[in-house]
Amino acid sequence: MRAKVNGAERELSPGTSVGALVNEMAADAKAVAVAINRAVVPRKEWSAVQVQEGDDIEIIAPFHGG
Amino acid sequence: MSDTALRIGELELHSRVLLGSATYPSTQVMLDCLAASETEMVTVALRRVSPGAEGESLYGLLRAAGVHILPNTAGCYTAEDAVLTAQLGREAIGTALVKLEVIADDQTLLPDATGLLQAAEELVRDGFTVLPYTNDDPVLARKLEDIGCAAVMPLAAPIGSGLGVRNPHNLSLIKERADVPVIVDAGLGTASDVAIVFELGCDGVLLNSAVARAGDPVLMARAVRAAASAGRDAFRARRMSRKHHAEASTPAKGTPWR
Repeated sequence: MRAKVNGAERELSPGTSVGALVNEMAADAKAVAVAINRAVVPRKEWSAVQVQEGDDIEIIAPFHGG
Repeated sequence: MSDTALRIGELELHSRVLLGSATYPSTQVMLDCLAASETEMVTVALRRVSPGAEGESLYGLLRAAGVHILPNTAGCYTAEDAVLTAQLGREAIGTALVKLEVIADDQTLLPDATGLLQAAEELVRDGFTVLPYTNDDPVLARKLEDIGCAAVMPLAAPIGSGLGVRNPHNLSLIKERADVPVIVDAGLGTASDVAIVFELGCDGVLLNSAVARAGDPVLMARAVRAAASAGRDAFRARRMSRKHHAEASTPAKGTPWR
């Protein structure tokens, strides 16, 4: 299954949850947020929501900024 | 003598200096600058996580420092991107605060007025406490306030330029017509710029490069804190009126040989 994760095309196993993807991508998931196809996926839905073929996923966190 | 607090939405701040968290020589210098400036609110950006990143997260460090975190929408060139970034910030940090930036182009980094109004309107409707980074335009500032923004953040000069207050008259006009706090953001270069902002009656400053890119950032953070305090006191003291001609302060009466 192909999906885009933070701008990069990736092969993911079918049934991958958002939560699993976050755990793989972020060492510290404390202040992380996720959008799929430009809509925020609330943290409480991370374990239930599965990535779909062709999804465009952004996983972000606070970074140094002015 | 004691000053009132700076109110932003529900928050009461006793420091009128807000700091950015970017471009410090090191994380420790950033933390020392936060302490030296006595700031209570620090901006962050939202960026893609990078796998394998180590060390304490910025979020953890700022929480431990006890400051309020103000997520920005830096890097957004459309209202749509800014709204989505603000929503991600709320989800990530658990705050309704947002420093709203909708940037027009890379060269000027000036706000895109129409995109800014559109994004501000959507975010206010969505329950955000919106602090828009805006042009030093009294009309636009008023419109942002009318929409329901919790503060307005006019620029002193282009972002990162360090040019200081380019149009003090416009900042005065913005302050005169505003019922929400006016926090001058962007373009300040040194302590005297900060003092001028407060002498004009503005309510706060937000600095990043002026501190982070100083030769000694921690010393500059301390200078900024002192300048904010001096400028604010001078404003509250109500300065003397300006006069065209000289006026002796020593009395003429009793002068010998006259």
